Amino acid sequence: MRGPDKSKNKNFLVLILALLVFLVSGLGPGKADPSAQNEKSEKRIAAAYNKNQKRLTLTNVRTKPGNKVRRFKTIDYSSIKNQGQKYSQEKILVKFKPGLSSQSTDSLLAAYQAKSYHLIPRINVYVVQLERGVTVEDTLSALKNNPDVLYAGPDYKLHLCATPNDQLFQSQYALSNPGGVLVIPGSPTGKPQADIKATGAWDYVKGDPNMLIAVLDSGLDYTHPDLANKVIDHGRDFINNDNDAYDDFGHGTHVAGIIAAQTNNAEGIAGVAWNCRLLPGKILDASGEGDYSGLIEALIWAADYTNGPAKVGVINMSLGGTEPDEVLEEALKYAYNKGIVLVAASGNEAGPVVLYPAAYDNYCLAVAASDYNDLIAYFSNYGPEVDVAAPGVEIISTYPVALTEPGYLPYIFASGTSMAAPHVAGLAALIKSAKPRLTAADIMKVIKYSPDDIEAAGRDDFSGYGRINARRAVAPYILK
Amino acid sequence: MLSKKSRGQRCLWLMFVLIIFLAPGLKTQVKLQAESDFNQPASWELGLRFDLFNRGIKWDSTTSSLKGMNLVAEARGKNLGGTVDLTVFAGAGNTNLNGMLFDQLPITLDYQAGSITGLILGLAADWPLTRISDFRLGLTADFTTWIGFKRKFIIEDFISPGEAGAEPDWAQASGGLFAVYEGYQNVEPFLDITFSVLWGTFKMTEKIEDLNGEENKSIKGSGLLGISLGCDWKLSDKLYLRPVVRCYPASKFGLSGSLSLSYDF
Repeated sequence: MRGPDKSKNKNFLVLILALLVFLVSGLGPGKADPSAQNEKSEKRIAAAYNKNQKRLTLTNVRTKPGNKVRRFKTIDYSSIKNQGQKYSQEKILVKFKPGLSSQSTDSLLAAYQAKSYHLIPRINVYVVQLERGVTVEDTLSALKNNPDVLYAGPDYKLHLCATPNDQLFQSQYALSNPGGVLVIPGSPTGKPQADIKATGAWDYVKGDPNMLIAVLDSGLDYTHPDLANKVIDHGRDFINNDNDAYDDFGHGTHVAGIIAAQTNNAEGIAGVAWNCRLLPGKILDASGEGDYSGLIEALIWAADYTNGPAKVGVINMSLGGTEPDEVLEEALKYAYNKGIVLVAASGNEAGPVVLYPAAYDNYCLAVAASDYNDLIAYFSNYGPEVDVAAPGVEIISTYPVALTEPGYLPYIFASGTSMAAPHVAGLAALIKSAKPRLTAADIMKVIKYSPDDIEAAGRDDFSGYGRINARRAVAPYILK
Repeated sequence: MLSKKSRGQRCLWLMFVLIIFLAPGLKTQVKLQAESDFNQPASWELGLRFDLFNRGIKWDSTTSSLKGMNLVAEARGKNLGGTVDLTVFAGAGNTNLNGMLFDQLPITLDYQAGSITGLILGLAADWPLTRISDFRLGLTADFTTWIGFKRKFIIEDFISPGEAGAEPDWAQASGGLFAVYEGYQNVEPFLDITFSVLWGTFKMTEKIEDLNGEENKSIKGSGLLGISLGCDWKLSDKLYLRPVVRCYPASKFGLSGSLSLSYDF
């Protein structure tokens, strides 16, 4: 039978060769030089929409059509689940006082019903396997009373942080910043941990599909492969007065992706609110213009919206105007009183004026933008109304398929407080999913009191209480 | 502070226990009058008791154990009214409810801080019903309540230090049958088989700046059947030692023990 074996080996070699050729060709450069493309198509969309009073201003400063997206090798770490046990039910760690003979330690361990044990050298700690039926708690309690024992503790479980397998996740420094050279335009160097700690939060909560985040913006591309399954319905178009909030401008789709793009689908990006769903309300037209009336109407509509058990828990407003308005405040109050957390961008004029609705401090979280080094973005508005900051510089997210240039995947990088606010909206949705009985005020306080302080110590007008920390907001605090 | 519901529930149980031991006491009094050896004069014992308490409990969908250590002073009236042995006790004790997760507070708190000190109060009663050979048989009931003192903690890592307060309490009521063997000179071994329920609440509060939260977790005992084995050991004319072991066969964690030393006046 040597002949067929030889032939099998040959086939195998050919297969390996073919795979190598395929992989090597895949690692080659894309069709176009990405930086040149970025430079060429960079456009400012904040511009002049605030010329007229009581007009809404988009709060992102520029968008860049996405780089030609490479194929990444992905490993699905998320399938390795944390089983919930904090420590091993069979093993403990024990350290005896120095000077105890090995004979004494052996007899002591035998007395505590050790099935087997081994010593970790240098630090002289025993890893002790207990007999079946012997509980860790009782053994530790007995060991702690033994005067020869220096330390006795459980063998705590390790687990991986919930890391999604989305292709572009490595470009989402905002969710998990590894530091070093970042895979974003300009390849800047980022500060490790200058992120919202989304992976740490996902270990505890991934959100509820019946928790809706209303995105009041330019609509949303509900055909987008990373959004199609996350949109509860086609929403409401307040510009054209119909039930089709399709995004013909791009801003809303980008914002929506940050909040709740389909996560762990081996495609595109991850959304902060992993399992939550989106409800689009179109209040900006194809050129990105809109009025307070549209926002007011959309606020009331979103607050009243239900679809089976699903209802709106969070409203994101990545837009604003310079003028206060009583009716707008009333609409905000209406939604707030229904338990809805309202999140808005502070604005991109680099000035001491926080836009409305963000400036309505009683009802709305005002969000400033930070970057990959935990510095406040140069364009971010500031003032006493700023509550928190979130990453808003070179944020990758979804972009309408119809507006994407041929040869590119429908994702772009964009900067602005528009990109910062949806990170906060996503966190609000995670908290509300886990704790539906909390009031909007409570959730706002949890978000405000749990950040990492990144500017002057304590609250300041640039970052508010600091850059949000999703893990701290949702993970259990251990009382000991 | 106990919640109104918890207090009401506790009062009901107390009344239930009182009725249980009063009603059969009255009923059996007549019957027992005929048996001369039951008609001994009433006497009182005073003693100290040390308990190691460990019982399986449940909260939400979690199974764990309630561990405690109590030191109580007890007064035991023997043959009161010619029929009933009544024990009243009070003291201090620790309860450990590690692992309880308060996940509906604004900031989730995981209690891993070990024992909380509290007051323990209770009463127990035995009613002999009949005698078969050297065995005395009867009814037994007891009620124990533990009221924890509030334990405070500092919550760090947030924009300013916050505060958490842990305040558990629980109660246990048991009722069933006992059998005492009176064939030995100075030792009376006994066996109790009781139906035993445990319930309680663990109240946790938190405050960070103006963010306040309160969550009450309900605790329920697992394993309703309790079996106690012990003996009354007469050390001298006036001095008694009473070791008892109690287990809850249906509960993974349930094994308790107590040792009391009492003096007969």
